[in-house]
Amino acid sequence: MSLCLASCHNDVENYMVETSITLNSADATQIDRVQATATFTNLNTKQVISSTNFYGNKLTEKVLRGAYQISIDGIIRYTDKNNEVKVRSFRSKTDFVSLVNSKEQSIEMQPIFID
Amino acid sequence: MNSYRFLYIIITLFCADFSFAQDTAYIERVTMARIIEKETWSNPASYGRAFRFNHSELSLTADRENANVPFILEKGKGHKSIEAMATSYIRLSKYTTVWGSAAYLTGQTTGIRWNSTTDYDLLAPYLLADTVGGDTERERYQFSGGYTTKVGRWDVGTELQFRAEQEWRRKDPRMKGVVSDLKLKVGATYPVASYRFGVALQGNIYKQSNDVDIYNELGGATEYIFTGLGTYYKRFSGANTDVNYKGKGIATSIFMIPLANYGIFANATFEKQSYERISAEYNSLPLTTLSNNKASISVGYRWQGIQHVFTLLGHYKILSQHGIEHVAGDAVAGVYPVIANLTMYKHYETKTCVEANYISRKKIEWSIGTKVGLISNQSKYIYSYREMNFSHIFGEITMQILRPLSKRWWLDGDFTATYLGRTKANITMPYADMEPYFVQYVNHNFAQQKGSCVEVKAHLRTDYKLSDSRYGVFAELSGGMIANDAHTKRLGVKITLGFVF
Repeated sequence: MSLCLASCHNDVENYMVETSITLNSADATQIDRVQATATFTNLNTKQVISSTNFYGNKLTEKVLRGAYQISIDGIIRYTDKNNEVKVRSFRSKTDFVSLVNSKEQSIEMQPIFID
Repeated sequence: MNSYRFLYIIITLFCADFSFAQDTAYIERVTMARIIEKETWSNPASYGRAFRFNHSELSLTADRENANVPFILEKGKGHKSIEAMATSYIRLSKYTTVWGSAAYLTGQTTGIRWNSTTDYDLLAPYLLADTVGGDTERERYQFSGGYTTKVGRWDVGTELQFRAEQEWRRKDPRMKGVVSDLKLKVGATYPVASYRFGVALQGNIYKQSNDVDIYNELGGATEYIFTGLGTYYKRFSGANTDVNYKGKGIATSIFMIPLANYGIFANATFEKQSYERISAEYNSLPLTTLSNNKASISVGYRWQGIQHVFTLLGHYKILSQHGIEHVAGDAVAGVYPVIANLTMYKHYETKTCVEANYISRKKIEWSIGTKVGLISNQSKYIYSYREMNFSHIFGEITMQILRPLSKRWWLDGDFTATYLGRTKANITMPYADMEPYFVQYVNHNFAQQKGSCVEVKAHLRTDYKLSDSRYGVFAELSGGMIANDAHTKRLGVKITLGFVF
């Protein structure tokens, strides 16, 4: 009977979304390493999740579906158009991102160099 | 012709002194021998056939209840109220019955905390709440009317029930809740062999406008938009507190009852109700929707002799609550789109019990009944994960006596004692991430609800028929006490005086 009643609700049981953030810059031909902390702030619940799981220029994190503000703060190593390898401090921030896809969602962010 | 018939019904309802206050009219309403029939009276076609005699009452009830500590903080420490009520049940003919009631209640609920919304039992946990709380005043108007007649071999009936209620507080935070609740039922019954089968359908519309005002120029407590187990919708909580609740629902029931003195009885009901909470401050943004689904099934057997009745019943009922949070996106020109819906809150409550009753129907009618069963409560919040579970076994014994003291004087009394013993209780909370006063709130309610408890209650009513046998008076006294192992005690007493005609 419990199962029957549960099926009577208009439930949405898909809670989490696998979010991929890719850092890309117009100055860089290749970004080979990022050491940074990405902070996901859920605008509705105000829950904050931090992650440092960058692999190359890509970070993957599983978060509750919802409206987010994302900020990244750290150091990036990249090869510029003159084929020089540079290590620089950067920040990147979004005002509002809607992470509501049922499985995966990709976002591209641009670093702003602060050195 | 129809308009004359309608006029006759209305006049009869309000001028019901054609009817006679007969002892049998009262006895057929209170006797334990009809315990199985009572289970079917929510169907208007069945209720219209419930009594053979007309009965009307005017009554005034004073009710007072007080606890040393609230069992549930949102419901307060106690209440006091006065209610005036008129009820009437009239058999217009062998096949047609009308009934109706009107009631007005005024009262006060004391020591509420963490709740600024009316109708806690329907809407929890999706409430407006603050840490301050206080006493609230309330007024309630209730009206109902029903009609049953026979069409061929079918009994068909309909009933309309309406409740208007308001609750408010005179000190900051000044909550106000204004409720209207309308129910319409239709039902039918049909005899087949030695059984009567019944089916009923009910529709319901519910509205509440709810807000909290702070008159203090320096501001006041934050109003939290609760989302269950100590969580709240942080984005919209604060000072913008105007919300509306819109509810709608349907219910259906079927039953089978023996027409003979013995036989199998079965009754099943299913109810689906949803309440949407809408922010009036943010362009009617839907914040949450609570879905309450209820189902119950009762199966039993009755043996009825001339002077003895024995009934055996098994009951199972379940309440399944799912709370959906509507995730608001980025506002465009002040309008927030809903970008996702998440079922974050789930609550399941089940009650399973068996019940046996023996009734002796001699000059003095007496009965003894017992119930044993299991009650289970499970609540969870999906992310960040929270959970609160507890279950109890319970045993209950009820005794009733109904006896004439003289030719005009009747006495009806009953006594019930219940024991709930805890079998399981566990709580999981992200205590490290919770504000201290939320920890206190959650722990208090859990400690009060998980514990073993004892409840005793008694009721005594005496009816006196005046020399003009059309009229009678009655007085009713009932009281009870409930205490749990967290040292919380609640005492209640209720006095009713009335006039029967």
